[in-house]
This record gives sequence, structure tokens and C-alpha cells, in this order.
Amino acid sequence: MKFPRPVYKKAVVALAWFAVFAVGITLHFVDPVSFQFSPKCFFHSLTGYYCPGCGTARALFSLVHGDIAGAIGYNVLAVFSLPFLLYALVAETLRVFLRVKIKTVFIPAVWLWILFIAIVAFWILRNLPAWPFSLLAP
Amino acid sequence: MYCPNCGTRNEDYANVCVRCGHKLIKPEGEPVPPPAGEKPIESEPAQRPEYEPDAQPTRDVAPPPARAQEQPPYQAPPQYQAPPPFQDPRYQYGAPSNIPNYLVQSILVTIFCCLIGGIIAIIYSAQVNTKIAQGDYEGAQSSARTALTFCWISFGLGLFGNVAYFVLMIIGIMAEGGI
Repeated sequence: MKFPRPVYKKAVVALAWFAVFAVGITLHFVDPVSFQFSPKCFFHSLTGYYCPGCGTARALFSLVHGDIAGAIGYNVLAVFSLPFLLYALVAETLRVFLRVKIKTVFIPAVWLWILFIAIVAFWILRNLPAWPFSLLAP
Repeated sequence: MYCPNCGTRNEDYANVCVRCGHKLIKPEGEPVPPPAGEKPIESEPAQRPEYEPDAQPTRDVAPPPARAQEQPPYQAPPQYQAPPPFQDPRYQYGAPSNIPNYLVQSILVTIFCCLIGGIIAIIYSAQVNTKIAQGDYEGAQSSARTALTFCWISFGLGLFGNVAYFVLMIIGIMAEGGI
């Protein structure tokens, strides 16, 4: 089934906002550490190593409860990417629903490659058992 | 009246020729009242027998090559409109911003789906911007499609895995506790 493009975009943006509030409200009441059904990381289950996304749920739980330092301790990557993701969502909302003409930010490719290297480095370093790196582990 | 360009016979009130579009100059400069439906019908049968024999031979020979020459420029535009599938008039400020790099989606699946697919998607996302900077828009679009594919694979596997995990947990609890 094919929807007209503006309708599809509106649906995606609406769904994204719903997801933001659903996750926020859920994490306000449910602690992913003690909750039995909290989603598991398969990379961690299979290999025993942490993936770049491990600790995101706990980090968001800490954020919802106002503990920014704790959130950074669980997953630096998730915490620092949140403002950018939020900007993207707000900009897309303004564009799609209010027809404000916000130009898409064109990020120079160098920064994307730096981001990729940073994520891979984060992935490797947080698995090292030594002291300065163990801070990155969830 | 007859078109001065191609010789086609047109109605008296016509402004341009029906065949070639050439502007028809009125003999006296004053516009002929358009809806006079009776006059052309009455005058046509009378004039046709006289002028057809002269006009037909030249007309029959001339039009086919003229059409063959005019057709290609009209067929060209569809070929140029075909490629860009991401076009939305509201976002067209320049070519680069037209091609999405799916960076947001890539980061989302990297953070939430815990799968390598998100990281591969980021590689292709970076490739999109590299190729845009080089002016390779077709390559950028193919990279964008690959990035989107990896996002969906990662998302689908993550969703499927977690749903399966949830179902197994439920089954395990029911087997243990005997609800």
C-alpha cells in the first residue's frame, strides 16, 4: 500500500512523538534493571561483550529521573546523541505539520566519518576491563 | 483562412494554426466573432472542393517529417523526471539537501537495536554526504538506499528478537509458576 508522501511523513512524525512519550512515561514507572521483561541486547547475550547501545534503557531511566551523571555513566553515546535526535524530530515536525521552511542541515562528510570512528572506538574501549575505560561500560 | 506557415486551413476566428501553432494574422485586424457556428459550417462545404486538390498533396508529404523532427524534444522531459524519487517541492532548495542520508535512523537503530546493522548504516550515511560533496548524486542516492535497507534490517531483527524473547519469557513463567 502506498500513501501520498506528506501523509506518510506526518504519520512517521506523529509515531515518533508517541514513541518519545510512551518510552518516557514507561521509564518513569518501570526500572529496566528490575523489570523482568525489559528488552535484552542480543550482542551482549551472545558474546558477553557490550555493544555501543548497551545501557541505553538504563541511561534513559536515569535521565527521566533527573540523574544526568548516572545517565552518562550508563551510555555516553546515547546521552550525547539525544539533543541531535530531538532537534531532528522538532525540525521535522515544524516542516511537516506547520510547513515552516527549515533547510536540512548538511553535515560535512568528515564529521560523519568522525562519528563512525567514535562509535567504533566507543564500542571497543568500553569492553576493556582497565580503569579509565571501564567508566564507559554500563 | 490558411496558415501562412504550413498552409493548413483554419477556422476564421482561430488565433493560432491548429497544426503548427503559428500565429494567424487577421486580414483586417479586427477580431471575428467566435461563436458564429453557422457561418463556418455553411462556408466549408462550398470552399472544400475548390481548395482540397491543391492543398492535399503538399500537406500529405510535408507533415510526417515535420512531426518526426518535433517529437524528440517532447519525449525528452519524461526521461529526466524519472530518477529522483525523493523529490518534495517543499524541500527543494538545492540538490544536496534533496537526498536523505538517514543518519537519524542509523543512530536510532545503533543505540536501541544493539545490532551491527546500525553501524553499517552510518557508514553508508557518511558515504551519502561524501558523494554529494563530490557531485555524485546518483551514487549518493544508491548509498542512501543501502543505508535505509540496513536501518530496516537492524530494526526488523531487533523487533523480532525482542518479541520472541518476550514470548519465551511468558512461556517460561507459565511453565514455572503454572498460572
